[in-house]
Parts: sequence; structure tokens; C-alpha cells
Amino acid sequence: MPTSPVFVGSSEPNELTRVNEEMYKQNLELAIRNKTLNVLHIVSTITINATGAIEVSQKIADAIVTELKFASVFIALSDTSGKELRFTAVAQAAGSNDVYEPLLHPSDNRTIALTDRGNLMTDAILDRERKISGNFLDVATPLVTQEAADKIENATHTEMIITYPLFLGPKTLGALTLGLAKKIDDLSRGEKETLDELIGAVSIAINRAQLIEDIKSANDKLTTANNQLELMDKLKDEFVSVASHELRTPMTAIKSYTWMVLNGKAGSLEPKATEYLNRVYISTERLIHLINEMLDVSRIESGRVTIKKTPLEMAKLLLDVQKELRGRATECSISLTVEEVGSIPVVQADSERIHQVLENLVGNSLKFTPKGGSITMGVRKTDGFLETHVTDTGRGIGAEQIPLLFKKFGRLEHSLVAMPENSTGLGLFICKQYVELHGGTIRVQSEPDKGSTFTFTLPISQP
Amino acid sequence: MADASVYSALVTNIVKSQFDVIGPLAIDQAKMVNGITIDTSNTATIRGNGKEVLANLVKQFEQLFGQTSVEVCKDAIKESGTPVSDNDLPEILQ
Repeated sequence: MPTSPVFVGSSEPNELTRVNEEMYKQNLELAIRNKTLNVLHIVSTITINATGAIEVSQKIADAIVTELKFASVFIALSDTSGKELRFTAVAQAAGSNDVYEPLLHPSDNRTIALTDRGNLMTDAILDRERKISGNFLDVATPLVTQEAADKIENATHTEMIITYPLFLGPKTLGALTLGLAKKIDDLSRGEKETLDELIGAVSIAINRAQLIEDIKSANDKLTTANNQLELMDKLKDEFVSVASHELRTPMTAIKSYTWMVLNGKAGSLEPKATEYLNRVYISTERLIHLINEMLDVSRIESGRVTIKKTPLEMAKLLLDVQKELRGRATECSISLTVEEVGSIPVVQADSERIHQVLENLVGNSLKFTPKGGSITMGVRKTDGFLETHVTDTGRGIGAEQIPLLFKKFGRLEHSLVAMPENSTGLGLFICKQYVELHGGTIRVQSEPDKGSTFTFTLPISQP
Repeated sequence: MADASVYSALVTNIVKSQFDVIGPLAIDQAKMVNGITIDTSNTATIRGNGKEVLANLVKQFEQLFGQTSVEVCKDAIKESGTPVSDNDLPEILQ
């Protein structure tokens, strides 16, 4: 409420009266503004809290009746296609709600076509200006009869109706109709001013609610689609798991019998037969390797991987891997060395999984390092972590291909050409998953023709 | 002439509208008009000739605040929705 320095009983009546009148006018302006702001604040609160267009329209209709004392308020909203209007909210100062039933739930689910003139609301929307009438049927046609419209008029003591189109930019939102128990000229200045600002606020409120509904609807669809995808993904994992198990058993048998034949257990072989059987043996190994990696991925993605942590001496693991792969490195004329390791702490880790990670990284380096190159392994302590690296002098990786490296089937273009055997595109994905399951990270630094360094960390302070 | 309850409702609404503009002074001024009693909930009751009491109330505000305050009184009558014919209103409000 504005304050008023009013002077009463002055010795200079003319001057003080003029001052009083002036102050009164200023206070009146403030009072009108205050009332308008109060109504806008209520609409704003409704806008923030409500989530559906129908809910918003009803709350706004109720607030207008309560705050501005209009006999009745009707809000009709356009459908999403912008072709039809439906009443979504009715509020009245007096009378029963029953009379509005034909408006809110018209027989045959009828609507008001936005293209048809003759209804006060469609006229207001098409002409983009407010419309006034003394007959309620003008807004209710063709939903109700004159008799039903008269009932509504009588129930709400409505003498005049004013319909405002609700727009936001080019978007038609609907129409707001006010029922007045008095003539239009009897609207006070405050009421007129409030109405002018209210219509814009109502449009924003309804538009926001419709946007929220749209987002919610899209979200629901995405959730449904996501659930279906998750189900399909689970089915796929199960299929891969079962299929891989079913494949591994016969493949192992093929490999074993091939080995036996190759090693003379079924008699001597012609050189050509030995060559062909060697190819069978190598291909079988590749398939078993692929199946094993697919089983690993399947276990990782279905959350069936358990990490069994025991004390692990990383320096010893590096030497073990060097020993295991030295033969392959020598065959390829690649030097495989381990940097001198100082005093480093023991970490708690699943030695089998970390062994697999290291073996995979060195195996990759062997694939992509040309003859005469070198591979170096090393480990050092950093802030709370052990950092293990595998550095090679191989062909390196382009910056654009690095993001693909740790993804499933993220095999690089040239890897197929350069080294087709034993490359599934799953190895680095599995490495990343195993390292992350330990609470570590894995990264790569590489440049084409300058080699690569793969580094993974394991936390030291593990229980 | 309309009955006393109609005039009481009109006076209550005028005092409320004036209160929105000038605060508690509106009540003080209304109480100075003969025939008007205002209770703690700011509801007015009138005694005597309603049309005359109403006219005196409007004049009380007009004397201090000029024609603008009369327009506020007219708006208060419009907003009240109280059914009253022009004949039942004092000339100053017509």
C-alpha cells in the first residue's frame, strides 16, 4: 500500500489541497500498479508451479474470478494442430458448475473449428482483437443451444462478455473470455489496465505449460524407446553369451585335434597338408580369441565381471609379460624391454585382469610396430596412483582416430590392412573397462609415424 | 431507495478502495462522516439516509483529495458488483 503524506487542517488551504490532490493522484497510480502487479504475480506463481496447460488455464481462471471479481471466466485452448478450440477451464463467482458441462464435455466430443467464423472466440483469434457481446451463445456456439447459453448467463449473472485472443508470436494458443455482471463501460480504470497486462501473462503461462507437456511427452516416448533398447541390448548380451559358449567348445575341440594331427599323432603329413592345417590352427586360435573377447564384453556389459583384488607387484607383472611375449617380439625383430623400476608400492588389483590389460597393450604394439622397432614397458608412482605405460615406435595413430580406440569394435582403418590376424576391435574396450573397474584410467598419446604410448593407472590406496 | 445493507456494502467498498490508495487515513476520514460506523474488520455499517451518508463520504474524500478521489469512489461502486440503480446513487457518483 502506498504511503500518503496527507495534510489536514492547514493554514494555507489552497496550496495544501493542491499538494494533497497531487499526492493522491500519485498514490492512485501506485495502487493501480500494485493491483496489476499482484494479479501478475499470482499468474506468475501459477506459471512456475503448474505443469499442464489445462491445469494452468483452470488456475488462472480461478485467480481472475477471485482477484478481479469478474462474474465468470472461460478459457478455450487450441489443439496441437491449431485447427480446433476446446474449453479447458471455467470459473465463476456464483452458481453451480453443472451448467458448464456442455462446454467442458460437449456431446459427440464436438469442438469449435478455428477456421469457422461466427463464434466470438474464433472471430477474436482470426481478427487478432478482443470481441464483445451480450449473448453468451456467441462464445459457446456450436457446442450448446441458446437455452443452455441462457442458463450459463443466468447462473453467473453475466451481462456482457469480452473475449481476448491468446497468442504468442504467430502461435495461436486459444481465447480467454470474461463474463461481466456489468456493462463494459462500467469497468474501472484499474480493471482495464490490469486486463491489458494480464492477457500477455496468461499467454506466456499457457505457452510454457504446453511446452512442458510437449517435453514430457517427448521424454515419455524416449523413456519407452530406451526401455525397449535396454531390453533388446540385454537379449543381445544373452544371445552373444550363449552363442559364444556354444562356439567355444567345438572350436577348442577343432584346435586340439588339429594340434594333434600337426604333431604327428595321426601319422606323418605331406608338407602341403601341414601348411593347410597350420592355417586351420591359426584361424581356430583367432576364432577362440574372438570368442573369448566377446564373452568378456558380454560379462562386462551385463555386470557379471567381479574384480578379485589381491596384492599385485606391478614390476613383477611387467617382467612376466615381457617373458611371455619375448618370443613373438624376437620373431618380429622387435626389442621388448622393461625400464628399470625403483621402489614402488604394491597395489590391490585383480592380477589376472591387469595381466590381460598389459598383455593386450603389448600385443597391440607388436602388431603395429615394424621390424627393428622397440617396445618399452615401465611403471612409476604418481599422486595416489601407479602409472604403467607401454611405449612403441610403431606407426602411431592419427588424432581423429584416437577417440575410436577404446570403443567396441573401434578397430582403426589401417589395422585390418596392416595386421589382420588376432584383431577383433574389442581388446582396448576390454582394457578400458577392466582398468575403470579398478578405479583407474587409461589414455593414449600418439602421432602418426612417431609411435604410441598407452598409459593406465591403478589407485594405490585400495583396501 | 435501496436498503441500508446495500449502502453499507457500497460504503465498505469505497473505504476499501480508498484504503488501497491512502491507507488507514481512509478509515479515519470515513469515521468522521455522520452515520458511518466501521468495525475492526473494516466493514462499514450506516445509519440514517443511505444516499445522503454515501454522498457525505464521497464529499469527505473530495474535500481533501479532489475529483480524482471521487473517480476512485465511482470505480469502487463499479467493482463492487452491488446491484444499485443510478437513482439510488447520490448525484456526485453519477
